[in-house]
Amino acid sequence: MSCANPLEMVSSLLDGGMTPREQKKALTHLNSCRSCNARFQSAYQLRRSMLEMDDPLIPEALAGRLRVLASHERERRLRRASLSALMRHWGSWVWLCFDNMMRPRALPIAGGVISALLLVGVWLPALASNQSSDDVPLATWGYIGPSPLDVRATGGAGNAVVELTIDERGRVVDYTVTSGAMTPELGGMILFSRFNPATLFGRPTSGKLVYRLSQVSVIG
Amino acid sequence: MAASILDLSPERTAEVAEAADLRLVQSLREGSEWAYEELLSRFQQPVYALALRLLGDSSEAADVVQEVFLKVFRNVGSFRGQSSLKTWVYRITVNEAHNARRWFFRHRRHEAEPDLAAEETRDWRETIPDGSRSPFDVAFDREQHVMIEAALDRINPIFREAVVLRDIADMSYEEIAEVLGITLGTVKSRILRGRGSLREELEGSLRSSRLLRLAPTTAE
Repeated sequence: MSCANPLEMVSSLLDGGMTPREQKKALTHLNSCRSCNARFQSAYQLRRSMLEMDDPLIPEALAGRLRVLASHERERRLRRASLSALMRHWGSWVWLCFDNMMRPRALPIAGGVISALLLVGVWLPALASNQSSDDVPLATWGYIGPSPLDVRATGGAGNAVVELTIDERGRVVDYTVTSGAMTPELGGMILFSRFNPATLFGRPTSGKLVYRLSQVSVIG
Repeated sequence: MAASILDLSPERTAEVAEAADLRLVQSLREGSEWAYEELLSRFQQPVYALALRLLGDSSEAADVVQEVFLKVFRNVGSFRGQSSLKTWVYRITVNEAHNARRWFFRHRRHEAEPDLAAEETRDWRETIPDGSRSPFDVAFDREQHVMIEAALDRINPIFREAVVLRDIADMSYEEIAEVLGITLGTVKSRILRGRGSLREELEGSLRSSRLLRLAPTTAE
């Protein structure tokens, strides 16, 4: 072997890329050629130095990120293993989202509800007692009562029940006998009688009055 | 001496490694927590070191490492065991480093950032003195390693990949061919040219300091 291509020879010798016969010839040559021997020694030392080089340490932050990545990827693989695992994952995800959403709001919401209940509890009795018993009911009918002075019987009659239609001035504008007998005199008496009219919102209004006549004695 | 140093890198038996790889991959597919831990503990440090040596930038390397493990976790189902797990992971790392380098040269080559990561992540073990070697030896080796790293950064990235995988990661030609997706002949050629370039760069650096004297002799 000659020094025609020393780099290739040295490289092959270092990497064990020679057949035993080639290797023996190369070693024989190295023993006789100082230049090639020095080149080989140099290449060997360089390679040994490179093999001894310490690997740069992985940053702690990167190692942490890799662990998180591994954990996420493992979870991802597990939840894809079956439908039930997938459903379990989504269930826990929804619950987590709900929990994360409600946790910061739980105290303000509870405080608001309790405050509202306390406020209503304090104000409700005051509001209820505000209504006085002698207040004028607004949307109700007023009392209709006969005016005793205006009832004049002109003849006798048995028991009778009449339904009177009374206008806002207290005059009878119509009547209907619902039971019993009615004499013409009694009808005339009813038509000329005056009643206190009904009231709506405090004002006189028309209305109906069911009136029982019994044992009416004729005077005069 | 030359004959005795040819078997520099002891290798694990292929069958044991292959069985361990398949067991680990199967456990990863099943979502075993142990498997994720094991994968990270086996590969996070070498993958980061490889990415950093290929890119020369710690933040870029950190991004690449995360991408690599994301791809490993997501594509472990498609790993068929035709190559070793280490080769597969390294291949992803090299591809991601290629992509990052392309992106870096397009977008961020003009930016400059202070590199604080290395200082922040100094391990406490680094501060404990190593009693087995003299301070001169430690300083000498450290200086050598710094020069080698700097020289590696200056050589062509294509050759750098091959040299790093062979001389630092201690991979065989076949493994390098699988990782880089090239033929054995191309691997051999790239390693040869890479070592030549590295030697030239180092010779340029050592002309003044003569630090990498390869056969140290004692004073007489």
